[in-house]
Amino acid sequence: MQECDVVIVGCGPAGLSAAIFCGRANLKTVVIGLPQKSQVQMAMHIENYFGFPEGVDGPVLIKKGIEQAENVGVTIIVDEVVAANVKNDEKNYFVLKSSDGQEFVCHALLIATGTPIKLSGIKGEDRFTGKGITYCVSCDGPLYKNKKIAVVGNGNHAAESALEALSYTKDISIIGNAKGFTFSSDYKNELEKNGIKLVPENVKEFKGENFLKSIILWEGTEMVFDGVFMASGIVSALDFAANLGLEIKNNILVTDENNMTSLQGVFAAGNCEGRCRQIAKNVGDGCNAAINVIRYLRSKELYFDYVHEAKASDNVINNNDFVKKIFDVKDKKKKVRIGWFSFSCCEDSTIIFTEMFNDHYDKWKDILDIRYIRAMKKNNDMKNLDIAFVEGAISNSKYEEELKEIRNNCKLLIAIGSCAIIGMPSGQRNEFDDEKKKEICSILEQFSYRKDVVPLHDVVKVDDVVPGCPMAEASFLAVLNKHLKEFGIDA
Amino acid sequence: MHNFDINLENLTKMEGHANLDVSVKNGKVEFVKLKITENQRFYEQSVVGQSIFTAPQLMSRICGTCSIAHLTCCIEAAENALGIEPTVQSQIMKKLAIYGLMIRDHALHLYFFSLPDLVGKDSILDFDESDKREHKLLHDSFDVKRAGNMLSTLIAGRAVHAPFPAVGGFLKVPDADGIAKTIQELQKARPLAIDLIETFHTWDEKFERETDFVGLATKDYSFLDGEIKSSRGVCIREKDYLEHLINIVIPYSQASGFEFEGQEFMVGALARLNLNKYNLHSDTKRDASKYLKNFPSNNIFFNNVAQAIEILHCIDHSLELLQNTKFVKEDLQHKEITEDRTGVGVIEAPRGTLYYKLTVGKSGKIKKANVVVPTAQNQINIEMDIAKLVQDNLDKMPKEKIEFEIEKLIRAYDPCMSCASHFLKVKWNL
Repeated sequence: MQECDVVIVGCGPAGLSAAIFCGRANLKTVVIGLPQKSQVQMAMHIENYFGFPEGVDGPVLIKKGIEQAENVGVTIIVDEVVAANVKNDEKNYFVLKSSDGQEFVCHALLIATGTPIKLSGIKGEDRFTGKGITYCVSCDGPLYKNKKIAVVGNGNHAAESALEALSYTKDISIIGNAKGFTFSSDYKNELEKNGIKLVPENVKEFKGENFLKSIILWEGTEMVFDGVFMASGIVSALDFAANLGLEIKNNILVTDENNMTSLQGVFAAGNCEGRCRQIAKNVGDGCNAAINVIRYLRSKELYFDYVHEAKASDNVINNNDFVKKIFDVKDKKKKVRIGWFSFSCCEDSTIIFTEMFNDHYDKWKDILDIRYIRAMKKNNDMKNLDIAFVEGAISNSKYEEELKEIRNNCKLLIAIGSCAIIGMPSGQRNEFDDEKKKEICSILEQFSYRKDVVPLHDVVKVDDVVPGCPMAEASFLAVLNKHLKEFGIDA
Repeated sequence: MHNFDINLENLTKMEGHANLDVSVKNGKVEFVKLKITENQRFYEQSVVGQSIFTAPQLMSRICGTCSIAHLTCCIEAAENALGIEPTVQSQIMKKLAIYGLMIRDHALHLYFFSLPDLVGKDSILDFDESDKREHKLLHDSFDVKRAGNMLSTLIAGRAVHAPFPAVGGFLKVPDADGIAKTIQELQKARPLAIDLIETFHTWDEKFERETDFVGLATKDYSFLDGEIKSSRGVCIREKDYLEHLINIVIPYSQASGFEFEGQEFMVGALARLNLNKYNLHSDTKRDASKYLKNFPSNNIFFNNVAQAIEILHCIDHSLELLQNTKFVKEDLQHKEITEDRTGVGVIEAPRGTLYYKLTVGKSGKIKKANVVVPTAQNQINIEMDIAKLVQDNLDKMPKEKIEFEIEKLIRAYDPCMSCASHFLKVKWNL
């Protein structure tokens, strides 16, 4: 049996967002869920989520969310919850059981199970999912602007999807249920008013080659469509929640403004709590729910006391103080991701940096996550760095492109040493007379050098500098520690 | 029949930038191209027109890791051009400065670059501190490098781009307190250096190909003075080096290659041990006798063992010099320049023989400069070794394993691409 402060059930955007907040607040946090079944996992490409101008693939977003949660100490259990029970004693707690028999005890439970799509089982659905068949009008509607689309399903969910699709096209059919549709009267009127065609026939098969082309009805008719939105019904993953006696209305959990359900200590976030089914909304939901979970545990002295900095006795907290407190909690697991790069230079500061490990290793190992340093490792990763330290000047277009890529992958870029800051002495050739220029011109041409050697700030924005040739250790430490503080680490 | 290409981009755990291309066609290695991709910074051109007295500090910027070698060699060439005979103390201090460099630089290579290959980890940063052996090696690395750093700082003012060495002497001499502390650090590092020799000696790695080993054979193994010798029996004076080194232009690399007497060759710790092990410090010979029996050797991986033995020698000789020298402040020597003069400096840098040739005019300004660095001398030998390694293993291991073996082999050479790339082909017409 594992004890923890909070168990989050569900491994989609809401659950992972909540986990990151709980982890950062030093709550012992366990997430149990099946990321591969998250609705986001089925989204081939998401184009409406903040911060990704080129879009992001659903599986990538989930993978990064898991990585981020794990980085702040959250335990991810890839499994299903099969049982949930309340134990009432002087301190309420919940016992959850996963399908492999593990038991988890917690004082707060956050349900973020989403609304996993119930696949219709219609022949061809698997094959064309993401290739003409999709499950979310707001996500994928823009792909079908002025195209002919079908909504496959019955009931209000299908009607809602069809009406939402009107923003993109007028040629919409709802296909489903040969026994007749079950829309409420309001929906029926709206559908009629907007000229949405109703086809009361069951679907037998989806057909196409690489992409969906048509729908075959049970009676044999083939109907050609550019795209299909599935709205065949949604199964709630709340079955286990019924064991807890939670209030459920219209297939969603009823919560108050603090994301708490009808049972104290049980919270909900994301699609299972209703409203629009968007990643952005669910991420925000997760954040809100997590903050309320933290507040609940601390105010009720219910958390397992892992954090010395935030004692339960500090529970008289007003909102602002509280939020400040959870972000100020010193997180021993947090590390700042750094990369060390070099361009045209003698790598003197790289040597100084490697030598500084002699005296600083014991401290740095706990606060620096060194993701990229070619001089010291082969498996380097420059993505999502907090700080990039860059030594050397830029002397060809390849370096220029690499530097821009570094800039795009870091929050702060710090120029290290004279060559990076002023371009010298690497840029001595800028000052050569004609005779010297003639001597070196064949090399410049052969290896596609830039005409001039330039410092980093001529190519990208530089946030800070460590001067020297080589950099002075004390200056580097001062700059490093200053920025670590900005990332919440007091070195 | 095997047909494949190997393209390794940005070789890691070495100084500077390099790529490698290997092509295998019909079961034969067609070519090996070690492409040094560092952009040149043209120091041989930059130094022309500079004062001979400021030139060494500029040339030190060729390379961060072996800057003291460039500084020392450039000073030696300048002093020879000016006709300055260094004082005994100045020579002792040059030796100590080089010893500090060797300890730190070899330790960086052995612990940080090569040891992860031996332990089976990507990086020393991945060493498991709960594992007794890995914990020890990790912390030994800090102690040994620290000792080298302290020695360099004591003698030269700093381990990288040192401010005290100058043409005609040293700007400062070490103080008693600093000497005592440095002796203490060196004594602490000594047993760790012996452990390091044992660690690499027991590494079951072997790659042999007959080649020529070339190096400066110094009488006290101090890396500074002597004759240039080769394992094939050639022995030449320092100033005649250019008559025996042939510059080979390598079109795909930003560095030149070299042949010695028309053949590929290797420089570095392995070459020095093969040629000169009898001149190691007596304490080193005593405590490393078991390992010294393995030299001369053609096994390139013994370059690691040789470097570890050199760390021990540098510690032993430094301790002797620090304990037995009374350092006094000396004025810098100076000579007037009345005519164009040329001076040659030849020393052993960590990775092998380093050559400087400077011509200074009456104005005191450099008129011509030529520098030949160790990695450029090794480039052809490295490529030929890789070709043999790949050919020998075509039927024995998959391509991915061959790639890993190549990287280990290159790392055993401890190449420095920062140094290697900064020189145009030799155009010396004196």
